[in-house]
Amino acid sequence: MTQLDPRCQMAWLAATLLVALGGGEGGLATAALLAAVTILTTRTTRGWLRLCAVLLPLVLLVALLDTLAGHPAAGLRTGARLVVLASIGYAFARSADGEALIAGLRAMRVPYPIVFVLVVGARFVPATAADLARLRDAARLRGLQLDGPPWRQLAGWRLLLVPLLVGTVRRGLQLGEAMEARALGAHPHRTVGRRLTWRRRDTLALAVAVISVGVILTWERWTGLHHSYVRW
Amino acid sequence: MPQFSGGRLAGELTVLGHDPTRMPPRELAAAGVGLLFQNPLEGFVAERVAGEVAFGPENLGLPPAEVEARVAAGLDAVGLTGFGERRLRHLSTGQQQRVALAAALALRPRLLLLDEPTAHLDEPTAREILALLARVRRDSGAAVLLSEHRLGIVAPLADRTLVLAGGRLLRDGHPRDVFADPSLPSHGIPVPRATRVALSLHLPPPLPLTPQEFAARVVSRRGPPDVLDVACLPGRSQESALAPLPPQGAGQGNGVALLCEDVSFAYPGTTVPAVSSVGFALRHGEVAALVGPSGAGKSTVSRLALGLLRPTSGQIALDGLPTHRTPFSALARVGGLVLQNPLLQLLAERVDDELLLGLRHLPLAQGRSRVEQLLETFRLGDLRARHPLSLSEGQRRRVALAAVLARRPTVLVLDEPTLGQDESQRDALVRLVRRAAAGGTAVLAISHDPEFVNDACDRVLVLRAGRLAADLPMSLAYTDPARLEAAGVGLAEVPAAALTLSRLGRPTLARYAPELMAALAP
Repeated sequence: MTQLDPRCQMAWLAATLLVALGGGEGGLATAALLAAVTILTTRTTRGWLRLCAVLLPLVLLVALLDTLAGHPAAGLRTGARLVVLASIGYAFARSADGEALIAGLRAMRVPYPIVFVLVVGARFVPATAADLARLRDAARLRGLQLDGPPWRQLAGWRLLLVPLLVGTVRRGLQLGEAMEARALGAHPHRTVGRRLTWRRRDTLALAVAVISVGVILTWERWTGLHHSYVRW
Repeated sequence: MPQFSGGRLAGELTVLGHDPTRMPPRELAAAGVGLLFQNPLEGFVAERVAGEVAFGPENLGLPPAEVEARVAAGLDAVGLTGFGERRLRHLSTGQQQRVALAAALALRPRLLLLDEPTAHLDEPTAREILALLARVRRDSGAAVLLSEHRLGIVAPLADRTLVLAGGRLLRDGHPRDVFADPSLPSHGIPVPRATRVALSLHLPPPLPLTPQEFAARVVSRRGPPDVLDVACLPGRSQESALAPLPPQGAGQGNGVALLCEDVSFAYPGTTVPAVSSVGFALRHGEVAALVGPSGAGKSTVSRLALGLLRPTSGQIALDGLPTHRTPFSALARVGGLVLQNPLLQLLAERVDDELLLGLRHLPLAQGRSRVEQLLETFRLGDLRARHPLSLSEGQRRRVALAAVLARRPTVLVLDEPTLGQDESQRDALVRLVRRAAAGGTAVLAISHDPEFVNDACDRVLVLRAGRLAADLPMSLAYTDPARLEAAGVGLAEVPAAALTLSRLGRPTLARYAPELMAALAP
């Protein structure tokens, strides 16, 4: 998967999300298969297992609530959908190369200010998470209760919001200054630095995704077997 | 680039012939103004080195071949040829700063503005970056305006020094002329320490700017100095006459505040341990520096010491409490942490509330009394009603330190406490740290600042690739500075001058300026 053209990777992700959200049992099975191929080919199995351990209580809760409401099958479907969606999202996020994605989006003629908003937004997630970890450490060492009963946690975490927000805004401003100080927006046309090459394997992977998704969705619609979240 | 910060501008300002109030920063950048920030990571846009360096030329809409040529030239200029496909986050801080410089150079600047570019770097790396900058300036012909606290390294490279005080231009001239003004320290303007000693010895011109120049001047001098003027000399900061701050849990660990025994740690999902077989003991009242290159494991050791991480193997006792089987709430009563960035540590809306925040375990009256004491000690009384985030950087650092010391920790960890601080702020910090230590608090300070390590610390622990490479007493700065230097500890200016004098055939022992003066006195 990591060897594919980024446009093909994004199409693969879109196809999997579409079939997971828009299909019934068959669509879900197809999405699971595509997700499994993604996880295996991106070598993210170990992280995926940890993700499943985190998701398990939520999946069980959803299944339990639907069962109590008299729809056990719907509960299982929802739980499975959750796992498939989270899995494909995780595998993609772990394996995607930011610069390749920029090149892919630019090749699809997405305006570069939008591309940079997306990329910079994605870069903020780990930086903010690191800030939060430091903030939490320092606060816990000053005796703030960030665990225990929920109301006590809420009171502790409320105090962390302002410095976290200030830190994030400050980082955003610094990054904005750094980008502008390097002439972002100075010229109406930005050079597309990385040339992408669409190979036969990209066509093959895209064909597998499109054909399997198209066939299963058409079949389900034709036979009336779909239970999708998305009306179409 | 006044549009970044806003405000009112009077007078005339011209940058490369342009009016920066009318020209957006992106156009100034395109016109040849390059900027370099303190922390390169905060300005990176791309994931890989080549993508980062190409960002500027791509913004100019240059043809791809020209972009590639500029990337290659930029990386060559900073000695990173072949690093193009490396991920930025996998580089050392020094390499990251080189990439940032290459990225600025790729825009072919005619004016480079640098905001403390070595603040996050250890001493040898800072020297490398500044030497590189001098070469770049020579090769490219660009003008360089650099703000910097590390005067001992940067002064000899500069053609001109502009001294600002209270928002006014106080001096403008060649560093040797500017620093020859004996009134600068009285204005709170730092002067390289070796230079100050030379001024006190009334060495004939030219004025030395580095310890090495100082030693050479002393050795070439004939006869004793005419006058010894020890006033205003830098030295070990006098500990405060006020009462020391005793830690509340002191004494539970048999004189040992922190004990690390054969500690190893690997982050989840990694195979290479971040810390391997590290062992040391820190006694009550001891101040130890933790030094080493970036990625050596300094932050990991400090987080392990406070119980924020549990060792994979080995044991840590914090004030006698084994961290692996003691509830964190108990460890938090004896451990304190002051972060590198105080913004991430200030949680309350008033300075006095900030200090009170960690004292919820005490009766309110007792907490308030302790806050009053700290406000006085840290000279924060006038600021008590201010929002901590509205204070200056130095004031915020004082508040953050006071808020942590309010809990009277047995072990205090400081992460780069002098980052971005000038000499007077550093001296104030040294006094406060020594005062906490005099009360029995053990201090572990991660620091790249040789002057702080020299002035504040009793010991230095050198980490390299996750292992404890050396554990040496700082008294070696007096008796055997060469041993510290060989262990990778950056020498402060006075021991460096003494070492150079010894190497030039004039054996000298000095850790602080008055000792150097005494050694050179007739």
